[in-house]
Amino acid sequence: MFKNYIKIAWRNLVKNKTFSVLNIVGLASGLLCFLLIFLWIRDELAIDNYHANTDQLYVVFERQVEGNTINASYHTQGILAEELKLQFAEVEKASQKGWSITKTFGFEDKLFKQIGNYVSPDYFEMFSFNFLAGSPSDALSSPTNIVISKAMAVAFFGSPNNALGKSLNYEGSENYQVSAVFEDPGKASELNDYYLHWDVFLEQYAWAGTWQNTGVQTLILVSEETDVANFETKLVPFLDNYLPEGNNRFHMEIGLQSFGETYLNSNFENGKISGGRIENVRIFGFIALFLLIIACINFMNLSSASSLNRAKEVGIRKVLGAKKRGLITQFLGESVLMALISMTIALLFLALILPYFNQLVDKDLTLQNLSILTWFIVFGIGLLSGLLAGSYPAVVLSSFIAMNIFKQKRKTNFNSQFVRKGLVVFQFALSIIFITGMLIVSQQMNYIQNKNLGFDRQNVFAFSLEGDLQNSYPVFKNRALQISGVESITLVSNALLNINNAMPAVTWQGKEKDNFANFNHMAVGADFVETWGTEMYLGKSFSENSTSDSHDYILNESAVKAMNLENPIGQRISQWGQEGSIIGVIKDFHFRDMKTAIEPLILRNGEDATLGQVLVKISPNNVAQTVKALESLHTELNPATPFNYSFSDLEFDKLYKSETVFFRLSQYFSIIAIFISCIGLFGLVTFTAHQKVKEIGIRKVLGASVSGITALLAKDFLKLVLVGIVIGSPVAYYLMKEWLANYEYSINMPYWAFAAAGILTVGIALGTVSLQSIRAAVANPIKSLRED
Amino acid sequence: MLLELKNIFKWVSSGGQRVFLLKDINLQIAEGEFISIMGPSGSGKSTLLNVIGMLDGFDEGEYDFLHESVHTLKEKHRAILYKEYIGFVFQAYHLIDELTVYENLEMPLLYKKLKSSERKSMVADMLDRFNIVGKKDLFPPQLSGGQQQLVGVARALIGSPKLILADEPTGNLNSKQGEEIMEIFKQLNEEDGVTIIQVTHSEKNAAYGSRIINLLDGRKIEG
Repeated sequence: MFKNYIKIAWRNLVKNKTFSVLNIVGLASGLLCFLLIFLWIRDELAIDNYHANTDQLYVVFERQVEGNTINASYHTQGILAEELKLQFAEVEKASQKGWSITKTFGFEDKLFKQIGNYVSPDYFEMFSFNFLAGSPSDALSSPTNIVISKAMAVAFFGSPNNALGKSLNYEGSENYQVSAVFEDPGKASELNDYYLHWDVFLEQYAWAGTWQNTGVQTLILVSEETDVANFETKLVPFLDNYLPEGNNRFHMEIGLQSFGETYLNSNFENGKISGGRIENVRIFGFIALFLLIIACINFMNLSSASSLNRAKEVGIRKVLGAKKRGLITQFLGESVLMALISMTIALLFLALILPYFNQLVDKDLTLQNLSILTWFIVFGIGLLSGLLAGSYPAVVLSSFIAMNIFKQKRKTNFNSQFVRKGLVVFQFALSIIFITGMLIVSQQMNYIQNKNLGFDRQNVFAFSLEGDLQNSYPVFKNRALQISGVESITLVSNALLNINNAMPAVTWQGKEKDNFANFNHMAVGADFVETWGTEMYLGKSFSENSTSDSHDYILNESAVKAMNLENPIGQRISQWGQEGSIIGVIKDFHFRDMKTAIEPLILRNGEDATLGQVLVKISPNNVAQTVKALESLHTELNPATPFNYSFSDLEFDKLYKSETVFFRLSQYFSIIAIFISCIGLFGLVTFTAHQKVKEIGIRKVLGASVSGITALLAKDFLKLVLVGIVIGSPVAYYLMKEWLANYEYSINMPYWAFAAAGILTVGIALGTVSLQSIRAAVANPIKSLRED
Repeated sequence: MLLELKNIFKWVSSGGQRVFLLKDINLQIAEGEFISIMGPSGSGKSTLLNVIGMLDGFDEGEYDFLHESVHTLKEKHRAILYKEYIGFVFQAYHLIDELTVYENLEMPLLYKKLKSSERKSMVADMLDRFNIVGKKDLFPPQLSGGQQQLVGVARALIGSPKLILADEPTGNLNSKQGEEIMEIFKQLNEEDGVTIIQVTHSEKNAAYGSRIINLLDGRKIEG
């Protein structure tokens, strides 16, 4: 009997080629999207969650309460970790952590730039690292130790074992002893080549050794029996003992967040954790689910459409003694078979597409190393969608009454029609949401790309000021300006596209008591305005030989507003106790992404800075040649440091990487959604045309035209699509409004996008419907009438 | 006695009024009879045949089949009963287009859960008997109408039923093909003792039978 089922299933599949292909392709594309997103989400959830102690690892965050505003961040004091471990039995181990930073290391004649961080000795006992040489407990037992990755060990010494005990030169000055080598952990949000002792950080950044300044991470490992909720309450007022008694409007609080959650939930709102990357995970999770639902709906529609051809078979089988259960099994089996074929195709395509998808989302997803459980889930989903999609046609088919089938009483009841139509409406509502979303996201992306940012990011590149260049910058600048193609050069202390170091510690004459404005700050050298393409609003910029006060300041317009100054030029302000006068006001320019408003910014004179970046503006002609000339100059003046530069327009694009990915994916998913929906519509039209074959025949005999009949058939479906649009558009409006609200600078809701999405959908649906309607309409009526 | 119908009524309600499809049908059929049901269109011939074949129910009356009262049986038991004893032949053949001749013949045996070896020999017998061995791997659409009906009859016979119900078996065939089928029916009836009830419009076909039942407006007309 089973063989008989398989035979029938296969022959039907081959006989109705168009249907089968549409059905399988539809389901396969739905499954493909689902699998891609499934792998992506699985990877996102796994990041930072592989540590053996993951349940006991917590990140400390701090709330700065100022009046009614609470600002929270992971920035903490550089001495907090040790103090917490000392004061609380609950804290078993603790570590600070700085930020990842690129430094130049040397061994014999080898010279490489490596990215690394600073941590406390406890770090390697808290987090799981696979050590290839050395041990976690004494990896950072001395401040002269360095722990390096396998890749770094291989690059310098050939093998991890060779590296042990060797001395690495750091930035041409200190030497550090390699004490341990670890393997790249893989699913970590932050990957480093090396780790240095926290004391080294404190030496370099003295501010971090005080209770007043924050800026680094504090990580703790609590003991197993700790009740974290209680402990957190106990911690809240901890800092009060360490900070000078402020006014009662300002104080700082401590909070804890499980380390494994930080990767996905890193945004704060009003001092509480509120989402982050998890929102993308949710959005894509919903998209995956909806695409799968659309695909399953399709499958149901197509299967019930083709069921008409099977009605006779059902009748015969019933007359020959088939039971309802047997028939349900048969048809469910068929749809499961189809689903498994689709799943296999989806997996094949997945393997093909995965490299490109990885490139798009910047991940390293593979189908290898998936656990049996994962495969079980994947095939379970295939099986489930087969059962789900097949259940409706199976039940409908098997409950046909044999007699009625032979009598040609193929009336479907109101219910099943309603269900089918409802499914089409649902599909198109979702398609509309996808398409509108895609259009609006693309508009916003366009807006970001073309918005006047207050600076010119084209043909500007940056490289770090380090090594010998720290002393020879003036020489470099002089000689570089003689290279043809170099337009101007300046120094900046921060990467210009993402300055985020606002603090309230600025005073000026006439500052109101309740002014808690935060100011971002950075140092810039001479020619900053020319190089970065900004404009002065008032006053002048820094010059090379400013003999006068080196504590001159330039404010941006927002800073002037925040300070409430009427005549800013010449006013004295003080930052970190360094008083100086305002010599100029620069027009506002964007120094963060469009999700944040332009904040107050104070520029100080950084012409003699020894840290930061050199910024070069070149002419758009012969870029390669100019860069090469600059490289050889750099090598001449700074032989111990590789010349690594990055163009600002590319850096700018990186700021919007997740948006770009989001946009691309929404593009692909919309196309697939509308494609699958159209397959479903096609199926439904075929189904109806089949049902109305007699009506069409009679109408034709009575003189109806092809166009008249096409219109007759198409009309009903367009109604469904229109209802879908009416339902989908407000949902899309709501969702996109929420999305745009993330941006401080965004387009106005483009209403035309809704119209465009509607017209596009109607157009595609009309095409699909007409294709099938015309075929039904031109068929010879004699044929359809004779069958009765 | 093979089957007996007592005071069978069947009706549909239309606009609050009962429209009778079968009216007070009394019928006794003995084993080995060859009966033709005749009557104009809409007289209830097919309905009667379907009631006898248990494909359709009735509203009033009693129906005994081999001393079982069909009207008290549940759907499931009825299915077992007709699966075992009744074979159907249709005007439109009703073969499954996606199965070969061989597989079409095999299907009723699958539902009887016979062993593969048994099925093989029974199908081979049938193919042999109807001279269609050469066609066993063809699909129904590849056969002529007469050949398809031959397969239809073979399929009805393969379970060795006591009763064959044929609804205008020659309706879609030309006269020569029709004659062939009728000859086969006659032979089955005379040589194998199979009871046959056929619905027909043709006096000539009716003449093959031993008894004619005339229906008019759902009522049996004597004589």
